Amino acid sequence: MSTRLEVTRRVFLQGIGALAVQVSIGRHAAAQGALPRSLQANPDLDTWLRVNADETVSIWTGKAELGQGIRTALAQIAAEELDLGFPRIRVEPVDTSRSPSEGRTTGSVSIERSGAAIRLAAAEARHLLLQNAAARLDVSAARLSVSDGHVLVDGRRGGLSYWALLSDAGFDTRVTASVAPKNPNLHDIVGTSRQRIDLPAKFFGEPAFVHDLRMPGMLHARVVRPAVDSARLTAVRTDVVSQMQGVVSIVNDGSFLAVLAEREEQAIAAADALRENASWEPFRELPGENRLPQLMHELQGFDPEVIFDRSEPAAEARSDGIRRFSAGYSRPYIAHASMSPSAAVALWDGARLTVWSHTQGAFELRGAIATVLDLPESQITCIHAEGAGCYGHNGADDAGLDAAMIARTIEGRPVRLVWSREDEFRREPYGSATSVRISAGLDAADRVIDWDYHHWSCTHSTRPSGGTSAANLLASQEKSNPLPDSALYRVQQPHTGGDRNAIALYAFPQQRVTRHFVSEHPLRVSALRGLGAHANVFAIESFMDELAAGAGADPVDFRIRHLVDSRARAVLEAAREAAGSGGTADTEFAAGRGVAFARYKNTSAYFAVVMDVEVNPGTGGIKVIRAHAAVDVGQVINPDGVRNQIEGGIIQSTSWTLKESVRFSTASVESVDWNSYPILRFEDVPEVEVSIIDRPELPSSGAGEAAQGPTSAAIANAVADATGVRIRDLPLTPERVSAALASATTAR
Amino acid sequence: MDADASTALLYALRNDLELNGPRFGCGLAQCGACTVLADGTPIRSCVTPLAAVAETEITTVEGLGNRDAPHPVQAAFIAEQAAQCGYCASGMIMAAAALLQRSPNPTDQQIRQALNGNLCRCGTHTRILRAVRRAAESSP
Repeated sequence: MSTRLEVTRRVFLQGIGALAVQVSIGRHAAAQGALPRSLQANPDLDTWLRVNADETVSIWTGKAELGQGIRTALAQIAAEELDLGFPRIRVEPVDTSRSPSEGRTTGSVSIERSGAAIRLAAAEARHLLLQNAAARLDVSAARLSVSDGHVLVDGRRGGLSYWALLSDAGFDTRVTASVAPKNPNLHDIVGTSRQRIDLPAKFFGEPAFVHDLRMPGMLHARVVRPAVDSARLTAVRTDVVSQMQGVVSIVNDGSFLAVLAEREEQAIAAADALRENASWEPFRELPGENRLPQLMHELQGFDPEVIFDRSEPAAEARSDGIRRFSAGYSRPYIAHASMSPSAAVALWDGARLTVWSHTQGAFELRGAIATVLDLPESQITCIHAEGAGCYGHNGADDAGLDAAMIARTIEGRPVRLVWSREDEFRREPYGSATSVRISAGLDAADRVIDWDYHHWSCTHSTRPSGGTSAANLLASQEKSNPLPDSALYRVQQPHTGGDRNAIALYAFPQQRVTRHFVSEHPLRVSALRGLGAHANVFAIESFMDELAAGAGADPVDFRIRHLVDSRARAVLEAAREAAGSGGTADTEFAAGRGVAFARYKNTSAYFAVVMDVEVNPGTGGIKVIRAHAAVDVGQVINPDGVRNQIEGGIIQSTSWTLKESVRFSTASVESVDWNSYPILRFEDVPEVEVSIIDRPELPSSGAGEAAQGPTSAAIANAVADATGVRIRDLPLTPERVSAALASATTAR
Repeated sequence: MDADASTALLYALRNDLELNGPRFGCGLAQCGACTVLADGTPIRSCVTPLAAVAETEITTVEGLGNRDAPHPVQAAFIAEQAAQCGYCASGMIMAAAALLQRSPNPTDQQIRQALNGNLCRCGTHTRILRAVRRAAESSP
């Protein structure tokens, strides 16, 4: 709802051909508290938007392009509100010296938060420019409209444009969020599948990633870390390596060890040689991986905490005729396994440290580096440059600190630091292993009357930032005088992510959820796409199928029976309809179909998927044939972008479900390359169809994390449908499936 | 070029010739991000020493086409928006271009097999398959 604006017209002539109109917006404007959080934190319009003399408009965001298409979506929002042709929008990189600070790019909230801020800022900018134009043309603003940045008077060009009005000046005003954005009915850029603005560079070999940064005098660096998990550097023979061709220097600070060379292959060779000429002393053992999932119950943890407890008075107190069910589910540690090993470029010029990183949080990384290096934040600039998809907290921040520490030893020379594939697998923080136990009762009407849910998981966030959690960075622990590692273990906050989606959205008369927070981390853990939602939804949706089977009910109908949310019902029905009737298997393999549903975080995107699989009873091999999904993200900014994220989420989660677990021995992580950590390949990729339910009148949610949990459950449900055997522990490897089939056979 | 003959082609292409197409993904010939064509055949530049390609014509995505004159595979990747992060894309494009050169009308199975050595972690496979099919259909 817009409010009536008072405009005072004080006109200043400023430069040739430029007119700056000071417009003050009456304080009918939205009260400060009603401003979206990104605008509260960054209230100046000039922080968000600039009209450039070259007839483009730049927008700044605090959110990073991770491959999810956010730059394109935000450009669409800005272009829509400004009535500008889409190609005129430039999306500037996240730069701590210039960009708004909006928190890390996590949780699938970029459209919600940055999109909302940019929408309001752009609407207000357009309004101010039109007020300008009205004053200059001496006409009522009501007669004005805009087409591709040109001001129209009664629909005809009046000779003014955004560029003529502002030249190269700024707005010099705060965003009040009092100008109503465009009615969604009038959208013609938002809601369309504009092509991604970043893809041409990636397809044509133009610079696109942090690895493509080249600077005069740049040196190449590699870090040297041991094969064993946690170890102290006890000795290193640097003399052998410093003589190698091209080696500029060796950086050694405590256990932090790195090498700088003129050429990249020289750095790699020198790093390999350093590793062979270094001695490390392990200081702890890992538990054996075969202790999972029970391991989660044996590690140190906090007292169990009931995080949700709802109980409605029963219509009739009936204790007869209730069938009880219980089951335990688990998932292992899962790796981000990004296609590009983490990398960063850093330059120390004697006064300022600049770090280019594919971090999800440039401001937080700046703070963490400041803490570790004991440098004021004002002397550090952190600039986002893309990496491969990170899917959460991978090695990006660590590579940033590594590069910074190395750069500090060689003033004036930019340093490009790239992790090896082994570094990335060994050192990245994984998605935590999780164990879940559920028990529930079905009444005589085949409805769930009580539901008791317990989950055991480590933290799902050890992200670094300034202050104590800078200790989450690897090099901060390796260097001499390491930071106290208090942040790693003394987690008091409940919002650690493991309980994401632990509360089922279903309307059970009684539901209790208990968190068993595991405070001991034998393996390094942090945020992986979906956080706790993956394991929790896998467990809930597998168990719902077990209950449905117990009720003799169709799995979709059984879920709908327990859902009051109409958007939830709608995605389930849409997925079911899209899937149609399953074809009969044309093969000798067992065919099955499974369904699953979730609303991410119970507040974000709605998603349902029906998956068809075939199981080879001889090998236990599962082939996922096709997936039919339906998603509701509220207002869709870019339909193809949503579809892309959902397809990707389904395929990635199919890989997690069928193949993935981080392997480790008591000495070290054993998943070190793509052979020892296989992921889904083209030969095994299913067909995927995604239908989108667009609700332009509702706020937008992100689509990036909606598919993970339901996909795993739908596959497990399909396997149960195909074979009659329920497998509750991920991954669903051929060995596990064969063992389950064998014991089912012997049980008969 | 001031590089040793034993230098892997990938680093010479990226650092001496300042090309961006071939990418470092593993350095172990396991992921395909470094794929370039050597006389039309896909090779893993991360493990190929310069000495081995001394007399060979090397093609990267930069050599296939550009914004003004895209190769049919590049045009198809744009049309199908066949990327999420895009890091694997140039390797995929090279492998696909080589496939279509030797097999202009591949079956879906043939495309999957030809690209099976190229990894995509984002899960863009279905779009990449559509793009390759589209490129095959669009080529004379």
